[in-house]
Amino acid sequence: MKPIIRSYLIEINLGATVPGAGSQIFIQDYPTLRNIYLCGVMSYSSTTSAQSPNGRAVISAAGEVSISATFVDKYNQEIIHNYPLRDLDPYFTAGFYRDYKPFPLQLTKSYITINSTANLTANESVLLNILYYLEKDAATVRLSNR
Amino acid sequence: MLQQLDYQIGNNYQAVKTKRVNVEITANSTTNNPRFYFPDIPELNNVQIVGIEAHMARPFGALFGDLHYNFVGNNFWTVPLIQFSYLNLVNIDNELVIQNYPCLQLFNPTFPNPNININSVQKSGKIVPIYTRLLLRQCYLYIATAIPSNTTATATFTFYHLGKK
Repeated sequence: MKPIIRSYLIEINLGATVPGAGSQIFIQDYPTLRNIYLCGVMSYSSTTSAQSPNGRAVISAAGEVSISATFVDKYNQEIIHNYPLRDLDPYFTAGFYRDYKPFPLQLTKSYITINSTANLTANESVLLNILYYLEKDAATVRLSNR
Repeated sequence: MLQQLDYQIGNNYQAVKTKRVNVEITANSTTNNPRFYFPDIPELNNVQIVGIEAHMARPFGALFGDLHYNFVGNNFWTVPLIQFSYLNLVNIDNELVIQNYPCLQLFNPTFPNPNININSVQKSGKIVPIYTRLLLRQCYLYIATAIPSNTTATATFTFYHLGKK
C-alpha cells in the first residue's frame, strides 16, 4: 500500500428511488478534487461507516456487490472501468486498499454503475475515499517513495 | 510531472517512534454532529508521520478489542461510536489533507477469516500508511450523529513517526 498523502471522502446518494439495473450515476463536482492525480480508491459499507458525514445511511456490505465504479481521466479515457466496489473495500480485502499509477482524474465524468438493485435501498449513499496528489506534492511523493 | 515519477512500490518506511494519542469525547447534553479536536502534543507537531492506527475496546460484538481500559479504568470507544467517527487531519501548512477518513478503517478490521482472525478481534493488523507532517491541534474527529447527554468515551490512536530530525 502506498502512503496516503491526501484523501477526500465523497458521497454518491442513490436518490429517492434506487436507479434500475444498468443505470449510471455520475459523481458530482467536488472543487477540492479538480486538477488532482488519483492514486487510490477505497469504498466503505455500513460495516465501516454506519452513517455518512452528511447523515445518510451507507450501503450495506451486501449492496456493495451490486455496484461497480468507473474513473475517467482528463482525456476522457476510462482508466478504471467497472471495478467492483466490494474489491475497493479494505474490509473485504484483508485490510489492503487498491493503489493505482497516478493519473489526472476527471471526477465529473466518473461514475458508478448499478449492476443490480439487490440489497440497495433508496436514499442510501455510496462512500468512496479518493486518495490523491496535487502537482505541488511531487517532492513529497518522491520522498515517500523509497 | 507526477506521472513521470517512478511508480511507488509500497510503504517502505519503518517508524522510529510511536505515540498514543487520546481524544476525549464528552457531552453534557445531546450534541448533534460534534467535532472533537486533538490535544496539542509538541512531540507530534511537524514530525514525519508514516502511519496511524486506531484502537478500540470491543469490535462487532467480540468481547475484547485490542485495547480495553484507559488509565482511569473507563472503556475506550467501541462500535457503534467508532462507526460514526471520521478523522480529519490538517498538515503543518494548514491544509486539510485527510478529510473525513472513517476511523474504523484505521482499526483496519477485516472480514472474518480463520487465517487472519486473531482472537475474534477481526483486525487485519495492517497499519494504514499516511505520509504527512501535522499540526495536531487543528486535527479533529467529526462524529456524524448526535451523541447523547452524559457521553464519556475516549478515542485512541497510535501515531507512527520518524521523530524530530
